[in-house]
Amino acid sequence: MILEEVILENVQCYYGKKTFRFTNGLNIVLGENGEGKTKFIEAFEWLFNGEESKLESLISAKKLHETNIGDRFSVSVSITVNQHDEIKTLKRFFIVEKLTDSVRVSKSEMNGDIVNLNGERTEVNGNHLLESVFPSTIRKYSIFKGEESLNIFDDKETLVSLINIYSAAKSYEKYHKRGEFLKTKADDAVDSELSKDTKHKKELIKIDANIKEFKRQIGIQETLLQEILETENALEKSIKEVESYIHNAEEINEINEEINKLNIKKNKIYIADDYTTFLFDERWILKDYKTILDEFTSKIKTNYDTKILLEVEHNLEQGKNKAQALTLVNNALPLPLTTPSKAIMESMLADQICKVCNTEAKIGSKPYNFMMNRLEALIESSKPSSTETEIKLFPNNYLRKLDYLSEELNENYEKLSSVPTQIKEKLEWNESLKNQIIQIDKEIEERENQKIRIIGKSTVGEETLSKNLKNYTGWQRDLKTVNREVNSFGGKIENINKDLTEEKLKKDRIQQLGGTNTKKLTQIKDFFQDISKIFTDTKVKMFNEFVADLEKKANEKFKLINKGAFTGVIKIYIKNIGLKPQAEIELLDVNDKAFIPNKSLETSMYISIIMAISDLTKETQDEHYPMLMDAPVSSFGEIKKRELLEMIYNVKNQQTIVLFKDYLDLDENNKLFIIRDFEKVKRESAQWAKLERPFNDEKLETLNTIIEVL
Amino acid sequence: MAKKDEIFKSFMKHELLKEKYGIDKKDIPETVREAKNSDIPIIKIIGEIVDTIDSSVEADKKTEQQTYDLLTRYLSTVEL
Repeated sequence: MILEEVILENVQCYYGKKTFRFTNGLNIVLGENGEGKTKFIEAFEWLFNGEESKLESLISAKKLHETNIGDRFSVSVSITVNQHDEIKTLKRFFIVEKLTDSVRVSKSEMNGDIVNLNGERTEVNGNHLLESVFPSTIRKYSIFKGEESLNIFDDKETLVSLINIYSAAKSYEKYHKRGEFLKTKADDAVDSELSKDTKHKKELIKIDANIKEFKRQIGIQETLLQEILETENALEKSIKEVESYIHNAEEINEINEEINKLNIKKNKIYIADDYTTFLFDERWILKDYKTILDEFTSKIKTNYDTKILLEVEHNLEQGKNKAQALTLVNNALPLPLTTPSKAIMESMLADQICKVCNTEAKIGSKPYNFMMNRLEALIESSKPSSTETEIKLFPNNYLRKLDYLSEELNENYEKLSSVPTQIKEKLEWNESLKNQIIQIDKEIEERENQKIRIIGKSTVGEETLSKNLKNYTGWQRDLKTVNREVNSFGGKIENINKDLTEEKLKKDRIQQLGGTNTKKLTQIKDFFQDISKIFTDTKVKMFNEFVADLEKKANEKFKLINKGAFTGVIKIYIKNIGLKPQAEIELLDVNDKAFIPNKSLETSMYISIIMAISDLTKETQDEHYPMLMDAPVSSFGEIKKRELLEMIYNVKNQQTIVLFKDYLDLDENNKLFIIRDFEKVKRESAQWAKLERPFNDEKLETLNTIIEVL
Repeated sequence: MAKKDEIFKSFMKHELLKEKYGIDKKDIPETVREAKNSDIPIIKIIGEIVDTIDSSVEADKKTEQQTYDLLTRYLSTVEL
């Protein structure tokens, strides 16, 4: 969109109709202080905001003075733009009626009309036309009143907003939203199908309630985190400002660097002290299990021995052969009949050797007979009872089962035997990490004290210093507290997120258990989840690519404005903290150390970024907008000013209107004239807004700004 | 190249397409029109979505709900 014409009618010092004409590229409006430059910008702003309370202050005193009582006249601001080859005109106006001692003003109205390529004119709603011609989101980043207003990046969300407006990432926002919509709808469809299944209905209701609650809690924590992050930013900014007063800023920077490194080192130390998890997941709870197991084993052994003894006595009473086989020398307790097994016994008898004690057992020898008897007793015991009168002392064999269990538990204990050592080592390791943190904290504190001592030697006046120092130490203390709170909120959010993920996994597991319909719907849901991820990741990628391009282009422009001077490099950091991403802009020296620029370097940095955004916009968007800057370079010297204007001039296809009082001087008769240097300034158009002379410097009604085309 | 084709191509660069869906570069179409005729569901679906949002033909643009209905009808007939 190109702003072609601005007409001011009876607006303040603009008596009658005054027309400014502009073209694409660099347009310059010269004007001495108080001769109509800023009034032009204010009139322009009124066209946009239509503020009713300002109406009377907009009336030209000269026009009012010349109007007869009872007569009326119009006050208006209109602009004509060329947008996509259509000529669009917007006019905001009100009617003034002169009364005896006052004026009556009508409400302001906004008219709009469009003339198309065929020359057909259509009247349209002015406010709607304004929004389509120059959207309000763009306007606030297009008009800059004074050098200070260029510092729009002090608000860390501004640059992110600008990037979102201008970058290709904007086109991806709707994909991100649609991906989220499809994912949610598909998820709801699975839920709806599952809710038909009464088996899981209750459980799902509970899970959904938990998910809702966890999301609510995360929302609360993130809002609180956002607030605390804002405090943190404000504190960091205040601390940085005080540090900028200090004489030995380089030394402070070095200390800050060391503190940063120490903080990074500290943040890398991770103390795994979630002992509840270890207690169960790592089986630490079984630390004293050995004592319990030993007691259990001992009891089983005692009971088992007693059982065998009782069985031997019982069998002897029954007078069975197998009982003979169980009798050992010295009345020792025999092994159970099943030990060794039948197969082993048969093998030993075949080989005529006791393979337990490695002694010969020839046929007919005592050991051979002993083994044969045991085998027969074993075979006999496994036969079903021949008579109903045979009584078994232990018919259920429970003690044998307990004995097996005891053996199994003892074998498995191997895996647990290292638990006490693990606990000891883990506690010692965590203790050493805690000591490291304490040590780092001490080192950080030492450096903070060093900083305070340096501030004490600063060249700032004693009173200011004392006040700043008091604040500085307070801010440092507050910052530490705030840092802790930030970590604490971060930790809380992380924990709730863990719970939330757990609930979602539970839900996924239930979804997997559903019937054919549920399974198909779950597949569709997973599919949409992937699509949503692709859309979101691509949007983030586009955003990051835009930031990288922006940084590159801003630096190119920055070098052009500051040709031959020390500049450093503009660095843009995007941080995703809390709910909103934030951008930080710094100037780095060759060692990547941030430094505080002087005013003109800072302003040129901001202009470079603003122009770079505008430049990139043309590559990524169909539309571009004019930029208006009123007195943007008051801190600039002559050379730098010319370099800036040349840089703006060289930006192709960007309409920029710059208003300033430079290049004007007074001759010997106190008459304003344009100095010769202005001829060297490259531009597409130049106009001079100046008061018609003579005028009475005490009578507003004598003021009339005229526009001279240069 | 039309804006919607550029947007479509940017989605096709995502690593999920290769890592999870095993799609080769040679199978990735150049335009939304080709994508809509693809036999690969994820390519077809992304093509359809781009068309419902950024089509140059106003009648082809669809609301979120219309898009969801259209896509789920198709997805319920194919192997995922």
